[in-house]
Amino acid sequence: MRRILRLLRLEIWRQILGWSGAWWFIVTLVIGQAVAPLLGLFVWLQVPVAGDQVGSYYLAVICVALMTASFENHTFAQSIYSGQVAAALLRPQPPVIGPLGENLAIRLWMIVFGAPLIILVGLSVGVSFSPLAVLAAVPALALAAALRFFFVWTLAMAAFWTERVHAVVAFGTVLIFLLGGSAVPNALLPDPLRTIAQLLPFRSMLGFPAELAAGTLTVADAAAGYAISLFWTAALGYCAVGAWRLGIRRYSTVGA
Amino acid sequence: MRIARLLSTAFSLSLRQALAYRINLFFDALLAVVELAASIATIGIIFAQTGLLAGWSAGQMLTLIGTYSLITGLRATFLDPSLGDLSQQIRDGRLDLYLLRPAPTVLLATSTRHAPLALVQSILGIGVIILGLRELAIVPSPLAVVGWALLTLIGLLIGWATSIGLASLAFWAPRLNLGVLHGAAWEFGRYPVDIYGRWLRRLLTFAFPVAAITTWPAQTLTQGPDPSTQILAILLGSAFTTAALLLWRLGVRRYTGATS
Repeated sequence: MRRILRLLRLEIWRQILGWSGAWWFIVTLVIGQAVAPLLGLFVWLQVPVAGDQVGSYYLAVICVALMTASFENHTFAQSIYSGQVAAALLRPQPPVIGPLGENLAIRLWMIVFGAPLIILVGLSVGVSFSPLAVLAAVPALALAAALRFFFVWTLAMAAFWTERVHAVVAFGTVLIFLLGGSAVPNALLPDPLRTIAQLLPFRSMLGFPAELAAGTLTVADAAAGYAISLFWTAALGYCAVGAWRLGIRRYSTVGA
Repeated sequence: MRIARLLSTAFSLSLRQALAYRINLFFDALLAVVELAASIATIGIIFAQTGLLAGWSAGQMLTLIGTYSLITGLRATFLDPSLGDLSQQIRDGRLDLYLLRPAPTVLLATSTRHAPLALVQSILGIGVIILGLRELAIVPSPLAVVGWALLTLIGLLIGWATSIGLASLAFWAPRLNLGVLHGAAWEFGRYPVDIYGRWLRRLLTFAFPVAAITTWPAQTLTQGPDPSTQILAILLGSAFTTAALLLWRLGVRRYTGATS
């Protein structure tokens, strides 16, 4: 385990250095991730029933979006198409270290370059967070980060079977947008859509940590949310492992 | 006429290439349906909580979403495939190929590769516009339809001009790729500019005129044409096109082939 963590740390550092020259591209990634919650913010600020905390909620959604962004359909899927994943198979380390290291490095850079935007939105909207609520959201944020990675990585493994991996991941993105709390905060969804959204994994990837940070959940709702997040993290983790085993059996490297 | 023939030949070639991959057609059509359904569902949820959004009713919003989908589909079909890697072409010298051909370079470089399957989005957009008009229970006057069509074309022209303008910056800063930024700004067209704050609204009217791309066409179709809006849109369209072409010409003068 210590060896794996050390390898992961090295991979993250290698990727941080590798991405350090692409600062402009990272800025565009930040903007790309922030646009949907920003639009949600502008829309719901116009709707009186959304409540006073809508500004804080959407600022938290922007933060969660930047800290959990996953681009495996661009990074990992391309390595399948180009055959570069073959090199990872030969290394004496778990193959997930490569995509996970790159994912975490990109997220770190996105937090750095997204900070001015977060400050600007926070100052414009006038937000308020209680330190306790933010602390309660930290484990949910970690689960959201793992969940989003497993989800996008699993979808990106569609590259073993089809060339339309971007369309496959785009379907997932639409679901996160609609049911995850970006288009509409979960509390404002009509029933039974709200209950369905609470049971599906998408809210745990985005809206749930933001709701905790904004302090809009009761203790019972928070506990239920954590239980659902844990369940989906385990379930999607298993899905990712299963998809990898199936995909790698099919993979026959470049030219086959 | 020669240019129209050139563009229709390019479209025909792209269509034949696209139809060779039927599964891709299925994926693109399904994705367009899902994305549009998500937009409509969002509108439905918003209007379940409020009667008006910054003065816009549900029917008007559907007309706007339809117009946005129509223009975005047209852009994705006729412009994005060429504009997507224009800065890369400038960087690696592939622009040479267009400069040597006997047709306007700017047109060849920005509008001759097409993605016909993206037209599905435009067709669905027209359906949503009709749905919005039915929701409003109005039949737009011929003048309103002509005004809407004119504004939609101007919107597309502005989209083309802003894309060229941003891509042209690659003549000076080869590593600068503002395509994603353009795409993000374009997303603001999903909603009427009235929902944004004063400064952002001004920015989205004059600096990157999202207002002219979706808000004004939808307003014209549902409330009738307003001459001052039409004139302002024509002026903005002309100004952006002129500025983009000027920037392109200056950039081409600076361009020195594969080594630039």
